Amino acid sequence: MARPASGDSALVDRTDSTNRLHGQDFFSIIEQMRERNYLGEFELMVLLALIQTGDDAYGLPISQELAKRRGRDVSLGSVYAALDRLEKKGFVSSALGDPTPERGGRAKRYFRVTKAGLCQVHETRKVLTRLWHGLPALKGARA
Amino acid sequence: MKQVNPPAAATWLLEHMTKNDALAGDLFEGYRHGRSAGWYWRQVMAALAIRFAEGLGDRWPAVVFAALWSAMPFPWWWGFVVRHEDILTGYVVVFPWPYSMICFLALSIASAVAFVWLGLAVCLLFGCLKRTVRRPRVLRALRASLLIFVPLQFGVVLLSLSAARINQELLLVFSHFCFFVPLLVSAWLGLPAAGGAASSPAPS
Repeated sequence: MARPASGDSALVDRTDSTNRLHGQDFFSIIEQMRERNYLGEFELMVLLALIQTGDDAYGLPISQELAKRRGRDVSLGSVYAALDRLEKKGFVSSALGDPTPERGGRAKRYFRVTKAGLCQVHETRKVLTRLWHGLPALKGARA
Repeated sequence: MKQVNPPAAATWLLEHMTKNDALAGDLFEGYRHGRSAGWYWRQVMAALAIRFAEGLGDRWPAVVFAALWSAMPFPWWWGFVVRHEDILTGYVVVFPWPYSMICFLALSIASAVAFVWLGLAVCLLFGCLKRTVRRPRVLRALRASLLIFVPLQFGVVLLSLSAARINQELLLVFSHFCFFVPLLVSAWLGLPAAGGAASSPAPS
């Protein structure tokens, strides 16, 4: 078989990746799509609230901080769901504390932002700032 | 006067449906620090809804499969049989009443259970190709399918026996629903989550 010329390398790469895509089954493609690593709006808010809360951050103070900044009540279940997703992406880590009587004998789950999480927050901030600077004046919109 | 402990029913639901101890502890703490029972219930309901939505996302193949299998020809065939009772009852009419009725009910429910289990077997076979399906999961799925399906199917058969008084289209929709729900629940229990998501958080 004739070897492709060096100029065709991009074409070869693309053909290879297409073949790889066809080789994968439908389910694994969907799973890969679900494991995307960018931050959703609510995830970013939770991550920022976690940074604001500082050390000893667990579900309740994080949700209180978020509710205070947002100006409305937050569901603790959605905060935990976002924190679980962030942990899967490697942006936060968690550790269980000791069970206490004031929590009905249940342990606290402490969260902490990882280095990757901090990098992601900075990156998102940079991108958002650039996007905001590029915007024309928004007529009829209220902050 | 406010109770010292949060509503027991809400706590039971939270502990059994979400299996998130940290969340249960946070809600307990929030309640003890002055939140109302209404707040507690709202938080629990929201947590259950989120858990269910996440479960649907993780187990969407089970949802698709249950919808497809319950739309298979069996319900139509069964509707046809019930409308032309002599085809099936011809075999059991030799018994005196009520044994003929008992035989008819047993035969119809057994054939419907076989249809559901066949669907479950196909579903788990597909699941095996992709991930490991363990024996306890399969047993739990079979048990759940029986517990949910048999009462529902009993209702369908009784309704179809009084077919002159009820809307046939409504009966068909109900029949589909009776296949869909047990298939969904049993496939949900039988198949592991698609994304490898754990049912409870796994702190590092």
